[in-house]
Amino acid sequence: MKNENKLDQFFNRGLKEPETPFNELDWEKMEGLLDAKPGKRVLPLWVLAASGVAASLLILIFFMFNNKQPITGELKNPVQASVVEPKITPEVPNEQKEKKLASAQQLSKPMTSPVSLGSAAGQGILKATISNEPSVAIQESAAPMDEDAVVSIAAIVEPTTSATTQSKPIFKARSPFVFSIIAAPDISSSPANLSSKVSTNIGLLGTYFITKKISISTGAVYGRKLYDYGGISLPAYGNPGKKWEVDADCKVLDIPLNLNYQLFNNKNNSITVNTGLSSYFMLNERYKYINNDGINEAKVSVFEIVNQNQHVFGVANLSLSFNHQITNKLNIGVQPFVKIPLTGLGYQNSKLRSTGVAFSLNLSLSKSINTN
Amino acid sequence: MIDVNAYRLTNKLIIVQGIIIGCINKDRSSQHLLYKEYYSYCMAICRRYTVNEFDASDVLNNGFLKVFTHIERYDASKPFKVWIGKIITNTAIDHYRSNLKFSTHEDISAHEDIGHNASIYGDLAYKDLLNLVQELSPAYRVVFNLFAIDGYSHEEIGQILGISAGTSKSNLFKARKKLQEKLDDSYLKYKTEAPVIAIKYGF
Repeated sequence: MKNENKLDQFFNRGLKEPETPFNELDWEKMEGLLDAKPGKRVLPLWVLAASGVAASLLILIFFMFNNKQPITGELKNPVQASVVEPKITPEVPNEQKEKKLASAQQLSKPMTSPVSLGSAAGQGILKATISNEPSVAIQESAAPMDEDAVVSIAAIVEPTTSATTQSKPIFKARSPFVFSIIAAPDISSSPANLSSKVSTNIGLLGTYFITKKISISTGAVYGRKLYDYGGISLPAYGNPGKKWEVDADCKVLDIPLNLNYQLFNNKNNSITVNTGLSSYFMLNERYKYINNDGINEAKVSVFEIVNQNQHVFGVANLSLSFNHQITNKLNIGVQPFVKIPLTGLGYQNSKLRSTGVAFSLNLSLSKSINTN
Repeated sequence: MIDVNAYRLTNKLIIVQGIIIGCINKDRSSQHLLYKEYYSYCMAICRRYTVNEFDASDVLNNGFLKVFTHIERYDASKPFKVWIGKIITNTAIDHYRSNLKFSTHEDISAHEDIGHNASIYGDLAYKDLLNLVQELSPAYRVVFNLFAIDGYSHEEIGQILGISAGTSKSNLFKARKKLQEKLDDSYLKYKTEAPVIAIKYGF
């Protein structure tokens, strides 16, 4: 049945097929929809990563306290020594330990406190170690107890009993564990970016020294990435090209896994090159789309998604760190870095590159040698 | 003698078929080409069913998502334009239905005065007509679109929207009445303002 109505025909003709200039921004959004993976299990990966970090920190703490056990057990109460199982697990051969010891910080004089030892023998080792924290003494006597123990925590040694310990010369030992707090401003940009915005990152890292020069690091860094990009769509049919822009505000959890190699080291300063991979977990992404045809008011729409994109080992890290020792346990570092995406990041699949400088405060969970 | 237009059309059809095969293979560049090729046609549909550019964009992309997801269902013996048009229209109607409880009055402020929207002379008619349709209340707009532009019967509209054919008819009449009134108003306005507009925008 043909529509005879004149009005209908008028509108039909007028509305049927205008030439609408193509808007690239619509395609950007389309790509986002096409790339969104439905039904992805968000939680497991997040939990895995977080528990990985928590696990490494826990191991760290474990080491801190467990190393006292062989010492106190052996010194005070040989019987008790058998009770103290070597809970420490990593195998570090003696030679390597000695090497490590060779570059450690200055040692302070050992302190004695028979009372605490006594209590330690009977009760929780933890209490003993905390109360006697200030002194630093590397316990080589752990060796007879447990060849494989990695000694990394301050221990209390009675001078009298030190004779029973293996006497070793004084070394400067680099402790195998370093705990770091970092704060890093960076500039993150994607191709076709419009302006430079500063993003902020803060986080915690743990570093474990495998050898004197080689170490691995991991941790968790929370970052707020601000960046934008845009362009001008082609002019068409007398219409000027429309300016389009996307402003992004993304909260990211960055879990890095880096390998570090120390290039240079003297008493107070060191230079290390770091490389590795980061996993980005996009906690929150907020995109502001702005369309401006130059004639009417700019049209803005905001799009926000939560916890939808995870990129495991999706970013490559490269940096150089300059560290200066402040005390025997503490050093500060300045670390210019660059993070290069290996995959498109976030809902918009941005190739987001970050360049910045990290400032860190590093605490060695140190050990010192028994000075016989 | 070769009918150039027919030749061009056939050529284009072949190209489009190739792009469609690419889309079946989930090739991103083919999808991009298809999107660009039918953007204008589909956007025109979306605009007359919605009231602003963002809704139109949303409907467009949701529609295209369905197109890309179900592209292998397209029957190559039928014109692609009709197939894609139907999908987009259905998406627009879904959008209308899901917004029913929110829509009271259309957002008048989104629409400029008649004539001021135009950036080129030839574009004037389209933008004005589009505005008029967008100014209708959603129920009138959707019925007018389906009947007058997309060619559905009242019975079919009734089925699509879940209303009676009678309601569809009455909504259509009301839509026409409103459009006619506005057209009369704007025509006068247009006549008196046209020269000024031409000067303002340098044409």
